[in-house]
Amino acid sequence: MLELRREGDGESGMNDEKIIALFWERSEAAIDETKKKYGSFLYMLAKNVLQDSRDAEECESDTYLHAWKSIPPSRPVCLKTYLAKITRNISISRLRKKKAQKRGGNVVLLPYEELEECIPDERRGEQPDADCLRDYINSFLSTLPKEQRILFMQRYWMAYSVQEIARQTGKKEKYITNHLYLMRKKLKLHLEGKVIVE
Amino acid sequence: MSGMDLFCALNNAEDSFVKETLTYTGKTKKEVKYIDRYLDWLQYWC
Repeated sequence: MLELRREGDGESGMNDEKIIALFWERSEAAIDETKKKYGSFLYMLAKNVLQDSRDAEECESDTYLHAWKSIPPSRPVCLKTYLAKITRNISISRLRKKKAQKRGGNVVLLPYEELEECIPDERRGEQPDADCLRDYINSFLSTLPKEQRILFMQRYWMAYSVQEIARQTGKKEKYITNHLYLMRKKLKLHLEGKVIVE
Repeated sequence: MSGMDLFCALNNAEDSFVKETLTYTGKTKKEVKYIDRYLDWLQYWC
């Protein structure tokens, strides 16, 4: 079925600073304006992760609630990035629950399954803790050329399908698949601590 | 650690990387060139 809610729809709404000011004033118009401007994008992100329209709608709504609770005290520098991170977190939590409930079911988990290849062998040493993992990931991302980094993030942060990335970038699916494979190998080296970062 | 843990940990990617991805995602080749030119201009003047 044709997906009618596309990223970019409605992003010409109120200026972000004004929306954040509404949150700080505890005006419920903040939610309406956020939804108007970023609703389609947040829904799309949740749908990419969850592969389910109803769950994606609930995650979108939960994002507004979370933003309402966290702004103030937060004052995001980039509202879109801030909201996207909330949506992604909520979507992953929901996905984990679904995965636990439907063990062996047909939940599509491809981006995360691909990342299994990057996990260092546990027999070779300790696994990185959360802080190390964050540093490894950021150092890995900073070593990638911009085009490659965006490709990696589109697949493993935004959970776009390879077909969708190919459509958006105008590149062949094979090109996307090969580059993602090479980047996963590189990420594995980072996680194994084999790449020295200055 | 699992692939899901790693996928989840990617949420700690620096905001600049996320913002960069969001800026370029869904744009046509022409729009990407326009954004690049604009960012180069900003970098040069600011």
